[in-house]
Amino acid sequence: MTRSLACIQGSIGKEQAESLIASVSGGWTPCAEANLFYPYFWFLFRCSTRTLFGESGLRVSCLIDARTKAGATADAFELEHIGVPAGDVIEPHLDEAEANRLAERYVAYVVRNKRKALATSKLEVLEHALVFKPIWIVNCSNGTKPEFRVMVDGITGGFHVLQGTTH
Amino acid sequence: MNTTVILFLVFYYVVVIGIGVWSMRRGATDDLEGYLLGGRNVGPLVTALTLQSTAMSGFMFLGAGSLAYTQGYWAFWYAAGDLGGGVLSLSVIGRRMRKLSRMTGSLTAIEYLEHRYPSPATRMIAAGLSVFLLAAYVLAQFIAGGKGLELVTGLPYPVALLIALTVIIVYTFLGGYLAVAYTDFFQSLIMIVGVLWILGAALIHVGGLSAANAAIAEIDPTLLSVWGKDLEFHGQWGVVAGAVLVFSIGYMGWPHVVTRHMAMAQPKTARLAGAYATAWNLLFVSSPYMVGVLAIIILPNLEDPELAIFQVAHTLLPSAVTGIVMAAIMAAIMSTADSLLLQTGSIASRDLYERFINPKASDREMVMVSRGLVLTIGIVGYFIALVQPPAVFDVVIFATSILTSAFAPAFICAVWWKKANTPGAIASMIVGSLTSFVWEAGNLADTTTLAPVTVGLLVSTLTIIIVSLATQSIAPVPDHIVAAMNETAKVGPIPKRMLAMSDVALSPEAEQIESILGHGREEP
Amino acid sequence: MFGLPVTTTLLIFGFPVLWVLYTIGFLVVSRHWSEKADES
Repeated sequence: MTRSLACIQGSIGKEQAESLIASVSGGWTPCAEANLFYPYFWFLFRCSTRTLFGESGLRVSCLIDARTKAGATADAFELEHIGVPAGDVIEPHLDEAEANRLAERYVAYVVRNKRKALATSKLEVLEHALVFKPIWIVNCSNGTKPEFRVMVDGITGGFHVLQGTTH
Repeated sequence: MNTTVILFLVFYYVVVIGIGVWSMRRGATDDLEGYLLGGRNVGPLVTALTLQSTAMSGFMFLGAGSLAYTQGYWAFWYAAGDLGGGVLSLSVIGRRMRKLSRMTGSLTAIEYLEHRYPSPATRMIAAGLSVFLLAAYVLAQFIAGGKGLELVTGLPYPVALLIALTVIIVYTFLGGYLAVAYTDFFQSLIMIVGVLWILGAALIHVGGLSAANAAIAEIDPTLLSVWGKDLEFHGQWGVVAGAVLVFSIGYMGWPHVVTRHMAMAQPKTARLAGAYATAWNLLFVSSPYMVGVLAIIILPNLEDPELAIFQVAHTLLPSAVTGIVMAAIMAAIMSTADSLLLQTGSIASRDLYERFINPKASDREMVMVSRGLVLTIGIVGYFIALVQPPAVFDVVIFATSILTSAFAPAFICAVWWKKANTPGAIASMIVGSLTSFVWEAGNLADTTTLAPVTVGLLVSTLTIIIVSLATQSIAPVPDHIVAAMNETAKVGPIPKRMLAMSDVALSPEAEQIESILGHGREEP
Repeated sequence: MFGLPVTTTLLIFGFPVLWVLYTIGFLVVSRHWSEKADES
């Protein structure tokens, strides 16, 4: 069964993920065994603040981690609509309304800190969507020691060793 | 006063505001990072310089100068700690704290403390202490700004103070244009050039360092020693330790706020910024102390030692340069005060108001609370600064000593010791702050030759260890915290290098994926 | 040096040298760390 997703366009494919891990693991054989999709609620805000010199408008992109509720600002990105096996989709644990609330709070906080001004900003949602980040699960084996798994961020190429998954 | 000085002072502000407006217009349709040109878009050199602007404050220009002027080379013990505080904090808690903040979803240092040491008491005590101590720092900036303005414009102190205070508060409420990377960069540059120019002019004026020291020796040879005037601190290692510790460990009692940003491309390393920051520090931190020492012979009978550096600038630099440099210094003071007020307001609204009084507070309400607190600090601060102004040096050391004693062990143990638990941290904060406060208020350093921060730190460290161990069974550290702290545990086969290179930012997602893979792919 | 007692010279120049060495050491030890410039 396939599902249709709005996925953040990333440049890290299966082969790249494997070669990335090969280059840092020294001696281990990496094998990409899964491509998962991690959920975020995305909001593009227009943020206007009144300053000493009039109003200023800024576009701020915010991603709310749909599982941990963590907020983050984000660079601009492209979305592509793709079909993926339903089993590879990580389900959100939040609903959009709550995510919206969290996003507004987070963006207001970040903008205030970055501008270094104690002023409220008017936030207007320009666009919003449930988006997914592609993640590669790479298995590392070397024939003798227990295998372990690493997750590779399909956008940045950053990786994180997965604990508790040795087998 | 000298009209040229004032002219160039005003000219400087016009330029700075101009840069701000220009970069605002330019970036009008950009996203947040683009507009502010902070972080990744500008390269490590500019980043390091923009970070310097909070280091350049009233303490540097009034406090450091006055200590060096009155006690001679003894003052360099403080510089010694200040030089390394940043890199020490970064190397000891930096990465681990970032990871733990992500894992716990903490946005402020105080929220982080509550997540690590779960209890409302943690938040309340930490927030209460911080608001009080940061307000003290702000007071120091008010005084510095008022005195600087008085010197440059000739206005009477109460008026100059009021103007400085008002400008600071207005800037804090309405800032915006001035808080862009370009202006920070420009200001830092002017200040570094200015400080080095003052130092250079001073050295030339006195005929070189050796000649200067010979002249100082004529006045009072004890000023050349490391023990202070009249060898007052001779052999007092507890006080010396305090001077070094207060800033070196002090940085760890007040870690930076972390906000999260997701890049959409391969990240560039920013470690170079740390190296550059150390280099700037070297240039910059020792200079005010040196100028203060030289002022001993250049201006031997200063009424107010706090104005030593300003007066040297006035005496030796051409008026135009004095105007510009003074303007940059005042702007730095204003910027430092603004950062502090922002933090204080933020703590009051998030960590006290929203946390304990109204969890459903809207962003507008929180800003109102913050502003209310800032105004209160302004009013109370004005009267204190007017009626009984403490020395900038004394206020800053007082606040830093208590901050360090109260928080450094809690923050350090948060990432390094899995047994540091909630009762331990709470006890440590209370005991550390009380001890250093009492030591300071009672002038116990004189009788015991131990500085407040030395004693406070010692006591709070012992407290967190003893209380944590004693209460391990009744208040163990929560499992999810221990798991989050395990960077390298139980992962036998995994190459250490891979663990080190793991992207800390992905930790929360990794944890989610670990639990999913552990239970099978699908979850409800 | 510069007409200063030895201890004073050590204080003024010794600590900066110490911190530079420490920073270099730290940069070497952490060379594999992935650092992001996303703090404020």
